[in-house]
Amino acid sequence: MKEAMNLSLRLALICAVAALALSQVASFTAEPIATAEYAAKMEAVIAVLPYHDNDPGTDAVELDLRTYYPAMKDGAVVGWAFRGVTQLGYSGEIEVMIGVDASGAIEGMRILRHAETPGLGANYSDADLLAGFFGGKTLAATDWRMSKDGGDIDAVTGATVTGRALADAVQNALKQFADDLPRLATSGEVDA
Amino acid sequence: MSLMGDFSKGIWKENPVFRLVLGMCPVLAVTTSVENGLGMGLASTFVLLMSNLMVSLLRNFIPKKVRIPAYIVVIASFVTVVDLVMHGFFYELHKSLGLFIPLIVVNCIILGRAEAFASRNGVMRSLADGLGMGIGFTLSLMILGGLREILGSGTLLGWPIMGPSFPPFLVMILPPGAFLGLGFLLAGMNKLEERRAIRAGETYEPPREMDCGNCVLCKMDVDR
Repeated sequence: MKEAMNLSLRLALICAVAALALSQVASFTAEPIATAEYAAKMEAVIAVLPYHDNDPGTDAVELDLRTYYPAMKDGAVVGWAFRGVTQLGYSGEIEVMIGVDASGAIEGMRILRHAETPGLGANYSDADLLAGFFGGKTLAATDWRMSKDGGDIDAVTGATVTGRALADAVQNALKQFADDLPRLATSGEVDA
Repeated sequence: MSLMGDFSKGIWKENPVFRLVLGMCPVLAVTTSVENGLGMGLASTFVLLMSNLMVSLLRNFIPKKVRIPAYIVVIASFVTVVDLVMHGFFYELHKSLGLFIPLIVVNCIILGRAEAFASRNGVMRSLADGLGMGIGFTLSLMILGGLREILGSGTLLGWPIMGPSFPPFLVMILPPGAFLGLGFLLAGMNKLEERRAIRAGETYEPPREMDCGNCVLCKMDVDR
């Protein structure tokens, strides 16, 4: 009994010291982590938006947990950036950032997160490649199937599954955006 | 053994990857490029150094019967520190190493050195051991990462070096490539050792450490 007490006390002491030290480190790194996460996200947002003179981050509009980043030029909205997610990736979820211009056509696109096969599905991370496949596409005027299925979306050879997943992510995000647009247009921040 | 001996044995004679064949999870998983290997190696080296230091300092305070949980707490704490600091200050590297940073906790090199070395030796020797093992681990990861990056992507540290007509062997950056690369490197390492032994007039024995039954953790008596 005495030994058990001794063992538990010493182990508890080690754990307590470790917990104390870690809480210090966590509070010290909390701000740099938040800054780095935000910077990485904003880099994608700015890359997919058309030319703008506002800060899409501070003008961002929250709508039912979805965030829309407006691009504004001389006070008028010239485009929006928003996230798209799909479960159809070859290995797990794929998250993209999509930018559209004022007419709703895709201006730019970036992959934020994926676990696709290196050398095949992962080749879609190339920004120019994505622009070639999805640039200029609109929700209404596009057949969101792969070109080999008779649709309008081209794919990387050998990585059709990833292509389909991306098309799914983009199409759904554009649909959601179209639904949300009336409410976005009336939201106070953007009118200003 | 001298301090220098404690330090240098981790780099060649008891190299954790190519001689002891420990810590295979990060070795196989993150070595798709030199940069990833270097990042993982340095993160592990830091944890190894700090855990050896703490375990050596606390070796008379930690009761034998709960030493493994105590070591794990020490190791896990330093891994969390690395994870948080890397997340805040090396965001891109943290993203590409991902899940494998928290998994340093279960890297058996670190627990192995705590148990087999730091818990029986003084602070200076334990630090030398941790640093040597860490550098040996880092170099091994960079060699394997370099091999896979050159063959699998045709680049080294992100720079194209194989020319545009080189078709990358995709398999080398996929999981099977890790096993292929490691296998050839292990074979090469054994061949070098064999040549050295023959030249020195010794009889060559394959490393005992590669036999699971001789692993330092298995040989450990429960209540020493």
